[in-house]
Amino acid sequence: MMSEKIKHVLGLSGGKDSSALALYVKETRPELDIEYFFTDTGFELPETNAFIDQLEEKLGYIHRLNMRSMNDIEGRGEKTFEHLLKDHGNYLPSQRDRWCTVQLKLKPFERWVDGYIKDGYRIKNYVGIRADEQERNGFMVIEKPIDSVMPFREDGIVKSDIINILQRNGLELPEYYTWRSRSGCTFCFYQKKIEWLNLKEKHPDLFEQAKAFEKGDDNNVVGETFYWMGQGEPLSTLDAPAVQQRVRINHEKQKERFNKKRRKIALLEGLEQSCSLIDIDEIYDDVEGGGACVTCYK
Amino acid sequence: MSELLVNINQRYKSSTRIDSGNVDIASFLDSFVLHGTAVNILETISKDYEGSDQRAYTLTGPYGSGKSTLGLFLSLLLDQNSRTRKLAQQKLESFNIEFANSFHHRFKIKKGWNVVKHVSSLTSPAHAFLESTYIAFDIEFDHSTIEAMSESACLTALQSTIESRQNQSDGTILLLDELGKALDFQSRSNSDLHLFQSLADITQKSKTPFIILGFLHQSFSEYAKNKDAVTQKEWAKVQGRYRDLGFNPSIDESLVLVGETIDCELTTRKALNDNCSISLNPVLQHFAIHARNEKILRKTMPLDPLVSLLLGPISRRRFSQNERSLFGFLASHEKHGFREFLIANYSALQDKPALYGPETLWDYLHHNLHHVITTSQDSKAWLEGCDAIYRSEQKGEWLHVVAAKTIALMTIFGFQHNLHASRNFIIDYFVARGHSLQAIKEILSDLESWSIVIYRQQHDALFIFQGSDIDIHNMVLDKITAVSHGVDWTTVCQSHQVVMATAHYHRTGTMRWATTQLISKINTVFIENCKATPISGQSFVTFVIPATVSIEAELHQIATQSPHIAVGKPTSLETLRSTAIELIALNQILKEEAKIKYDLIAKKELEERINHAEHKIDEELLSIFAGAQWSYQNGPVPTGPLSTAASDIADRLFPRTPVVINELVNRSKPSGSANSAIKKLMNAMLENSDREDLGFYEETFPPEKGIYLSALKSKGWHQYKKEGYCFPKTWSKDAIAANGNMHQLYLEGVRTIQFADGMVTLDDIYNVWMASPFGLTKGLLPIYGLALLKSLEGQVAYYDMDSTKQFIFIPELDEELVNKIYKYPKEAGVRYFEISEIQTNLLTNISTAIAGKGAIHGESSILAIAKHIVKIVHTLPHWVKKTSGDNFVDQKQGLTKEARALRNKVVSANDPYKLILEDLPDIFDLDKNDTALGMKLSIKLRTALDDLQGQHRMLVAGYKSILLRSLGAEFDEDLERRCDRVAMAANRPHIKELALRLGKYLKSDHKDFEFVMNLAIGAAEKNWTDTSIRNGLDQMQNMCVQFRRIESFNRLDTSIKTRPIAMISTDKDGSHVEFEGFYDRASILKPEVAIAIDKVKESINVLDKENQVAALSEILTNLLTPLSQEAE
Repeated sequence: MMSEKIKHVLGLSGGKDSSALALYVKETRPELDIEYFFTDTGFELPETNAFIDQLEEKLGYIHRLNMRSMNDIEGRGEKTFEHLLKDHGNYLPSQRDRWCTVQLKLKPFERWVDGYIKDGYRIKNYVGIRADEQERNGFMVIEKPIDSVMPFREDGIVKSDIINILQRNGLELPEYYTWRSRSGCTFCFYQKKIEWLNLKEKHPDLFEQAKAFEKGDDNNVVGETFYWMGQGEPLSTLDAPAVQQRVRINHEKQKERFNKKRRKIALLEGLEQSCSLIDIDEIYDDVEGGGACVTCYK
Repeated sequence: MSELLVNINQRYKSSTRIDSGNVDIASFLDSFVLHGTAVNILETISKDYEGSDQRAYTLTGPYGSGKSTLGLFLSLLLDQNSRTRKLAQQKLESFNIEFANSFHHRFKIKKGWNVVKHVSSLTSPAHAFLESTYIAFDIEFDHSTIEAMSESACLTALQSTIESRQNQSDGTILLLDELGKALDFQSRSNSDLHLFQSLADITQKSKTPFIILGFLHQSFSEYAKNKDAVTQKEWAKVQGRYRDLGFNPSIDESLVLVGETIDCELTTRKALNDNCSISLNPVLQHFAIHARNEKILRKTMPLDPLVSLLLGPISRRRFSQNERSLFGFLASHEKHGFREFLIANYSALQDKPALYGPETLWDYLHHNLHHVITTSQDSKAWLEGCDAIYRSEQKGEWLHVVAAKTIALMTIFGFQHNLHASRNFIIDYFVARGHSLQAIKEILSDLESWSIVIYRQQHDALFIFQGSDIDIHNMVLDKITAVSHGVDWTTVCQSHQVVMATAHYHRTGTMRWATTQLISKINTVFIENCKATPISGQSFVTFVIPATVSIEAELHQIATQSPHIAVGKPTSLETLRSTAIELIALNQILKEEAKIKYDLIAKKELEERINHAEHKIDEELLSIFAGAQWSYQNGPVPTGPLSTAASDIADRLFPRTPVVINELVNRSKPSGSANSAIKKLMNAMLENSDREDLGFYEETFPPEKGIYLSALKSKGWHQYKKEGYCFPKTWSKDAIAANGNMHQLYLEGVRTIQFADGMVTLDDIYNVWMASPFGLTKGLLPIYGLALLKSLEGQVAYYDMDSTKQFIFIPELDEELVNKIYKYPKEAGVRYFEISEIQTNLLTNISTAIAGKGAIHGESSILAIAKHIVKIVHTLPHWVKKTSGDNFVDQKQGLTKEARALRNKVVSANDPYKLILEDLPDIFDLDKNDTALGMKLSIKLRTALDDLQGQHRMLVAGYKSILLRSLGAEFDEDLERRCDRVAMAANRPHIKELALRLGKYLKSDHKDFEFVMNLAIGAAEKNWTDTSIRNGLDQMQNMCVQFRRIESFNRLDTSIKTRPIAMISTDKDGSHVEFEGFYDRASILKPEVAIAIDKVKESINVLDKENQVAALSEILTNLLTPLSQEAE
């Protein structure tokens, strides 16, 4: 009997966990022949793109699924976000209707693995869910011969291991972690206000671009207007200095509260302990990733 | 109380019970008012008896109309005692002597009749009839024997009993009062009416004359109105066997009764006659039909004649039922009642005696009967009246209100009896009462213009303005018909009854409550709820009654699997069902009928009815749950009140409940002050567990001390042991004997921690304790939770989920964790680490292994040891903490896999127990149960730590050797001088810096070679990475080459006449070779040198250029001094 053909795939989002996973799998399972992929939504942070390039140096070839990813595109012909927004009646994606993930992440991925599946492969998809994370769906369920593999969970890798994995492979946390906690689109609606504000400062052009999407296609908006930050709060509200100040003060307060309620790690007594924006969701008492699924967040 | 001038003849007050024993016959007959309607009944029955074989009758008439009294009178007429018979006969004669005689003849009275008087109740009629018969016949009987008989057996016995007295009497008459109740019983217990048919048959088959007379309030079929159409038809058929006699005394007769009842002292009577006749005139004048009643109306004073006329109709209304008869009104002490009026006005005779006017009657009805009327068929008219009167009170004066009340009463109750409030009547009436014509006319015109009253031409009379065109009553009836099929009526029957397990509470101190539920269908939600284990504060069992027979079996099936439901079998749900359907109908009307929104009166009526129905449902539910037969776990439950059943179930479900009699804390929701006491107690447990009574003062008695004494000390948790006061792990025998259940609770807590696979949260422990068989309450959970943890100190590790959402190891119980134990048990964790012999040995070994590494020797607590290991790793140079472990300098000197694994684990470790007892053996792949574990592990640990700590040294050594080789030097003064020279000569800053740093290194006793390395690596030490280190090695070599080149060209020898020369080439292996030499500047000026140059030129001119270079190079090579070879 012929043994089953297996294709190992690992998606990189530009986030710390998926990156660490790729490096970790390479360290611990060097025998595996893994196809790496990065689903470029066309609205990635420059820092993300730079980080993916760094990863490519360490890992080898990374498939870039989607448009706008320079010239050697695979899966050309995907629709752009602008186009999709029109298709969705100018409704911005939101927690209620997260069509962006489906259209920009899942569909390109499906189309890509379909090629392997057609050739008789069974897909093993490596997902960066850690041992210290609550059970959650590793993936939006697709009726296909795809198995999810979670090496972190299998090996008991937790949040505090992640940086070490990156560092021992000569990488640091992606640059954007100094001002934002998540990978994903520039206009990801899971962003906290402080993150929007930081985007405005770091990349004013990208902030303006996100703002422009809120206006929709002239008068084409049907029904109530939704904004990235939710109903009644267009991004332009962040232009007011008073609002900016309030957001920053609130963030500082939240951070202070978080640090106050944080336990000193007894083992590290006498050694330095610090917090970074990695903890932003915890700072806001949210689940890690704020509810976004691993497709974008990891 | 002084004697009143007007009295109420008390004998009329009480309604008659036909079966009451010692009736004073004379006084009964004296007070009995015989009227036409009654006589007609007697005539019908007597004629039938004589001329037909009809023997079964029903007498249907409203409450309080005197049916029973008539029945009693009939029994006296037939009595076996001739004297009694005679007295009754005389009464009859006083009415009509002719009829009296014919009655006697028709019944052929000789010996008199046996009279069986029976008052029905809600029990099986056949059995009750037989018992009453036995009683009447003085036959002894045994209740239980009769109970065991079938219906038909009862009837047979009944017939034979009657026939047995054939010779002693003329016949037997069975008087069945409250027959309606018997019919109700049959209807509810879903029996048919066959019984009543058989009974009617017996009257005809009987060998002795046998008459049945039943008293009803409504016809047979009405009692079956909740049944389907077929059943109703059947009931109507059975009714056909009984001749139904309507009994509805007219207004006149009521008047007579009222007149007879009012007992007026003579002078008062006269005063009334003299002064109040004028009031009588408008009534007599406008209601011609009552002209003949003048005499009677006079007798009813001091009731206003209009009131007297209205009393009859009012007493006929539905709401007047239930003992609120005419006489009830006259004699009761209710507010605004006639009695109150008499006391106020007839204690002494006044010049102008007062009359009880219609306005007072209105107030009486409104005050005492409003709630009843609003749910009766009169509700609509009544509420319209209320609304009109309310408006008249708002807008008008006293007289407006009086007029409005008068017209309202006449509208509501007079209409059917042609007592219309014609304009002239009202005017005359009020004029007669002493108001001016002008005034009353104005009043009426005001009332009309305010739409309080309206003139209706059809009746030529004034009516209360009908604010509402909606007839709610009929609408409801229609709606009921429309919804009664297929509707899930149980939706409006939510039972809110909560049942306390009282006895269980008294025994254990734990309050538990059960809920009640009526269900019509079993869905997944219900099944889920049954399966779920209730927590403290939730109902521990639900008493469920199936609304239909069809789900009963399924319910019992579920009940076998869930200890949290008990199933009941109800007696009858009929009343509940019909009320529920009515409520549904009412609610639908309220929702659907848009016009009701704009009709305040209709809306109000509807709301009143809804209130009433809801109230009735609640009451009915209470009685159904109380009366049902309960089963639990397929077995019976003790009968009695539900709380008894609840206690029984609680005892069975929670046999191990520890007895804690403390109302403050043994509850699911301790009060604020109890909570603060609990917190204080927990703090004392944390701080003072080693002190007697947790250090509470002997003299004072704060609540926390009370809790301590009743819940901890006396229960065995806190004891004196040889090491002092503590929360002991092992309880003394006495403590166990005295608190068996509590000890089991403790052991269960220990087991939960000990046998868990990893950490458990306090919440997990609480869930075990809250479930069966313990059922611990919420107030006690944190106290025992903390006591448990205290008792396990040293064997468990504590964890706290902090703001990073991770469980963080806590070295010891602290206030914050205690707060979590109390408030957020999900965030407080505990894990069992039993330190075995192997582990003790392990600790000692590890301790020794790291002793040389900055740790204090002999330190053996897990935390201390783990901390030292962590510190060793954390204080490693940055790059070692993140290196992939590749070797840079020497193949053999990479970081070992084990060292790397150790470092990775330690860097992210936050739990010393896990690190030492689990992670370390795993890292080194050692068996945790190996007795030699300690030794093996300590060797490997030491090697790995050495390896880690040696990395940096090795790297530095590698860099040093490259430097020395490249420069062809040792770290000595010579090199120092070279550095100085290069530092001066170098133009390139990089090389200049290298020379400076190297020089500095040499001058400062060879310290901080890293500064030299930084230059090659291009980063400060803390930023070194594998890549930059690797690149730095090449960079170091390159810099050395440049260093030497600079040296070559800037050999600044003392003599400035000297010139250096250098040549770089490669040797036969391809390695770079450098040659150098020096010559005197003046040499070139020497003539012999000039000649030599020419000769050489001449000799090589024959060669091509390349060969010329080769020749000269070869010559130079021999002339110059080769420098040492450079490494690749």
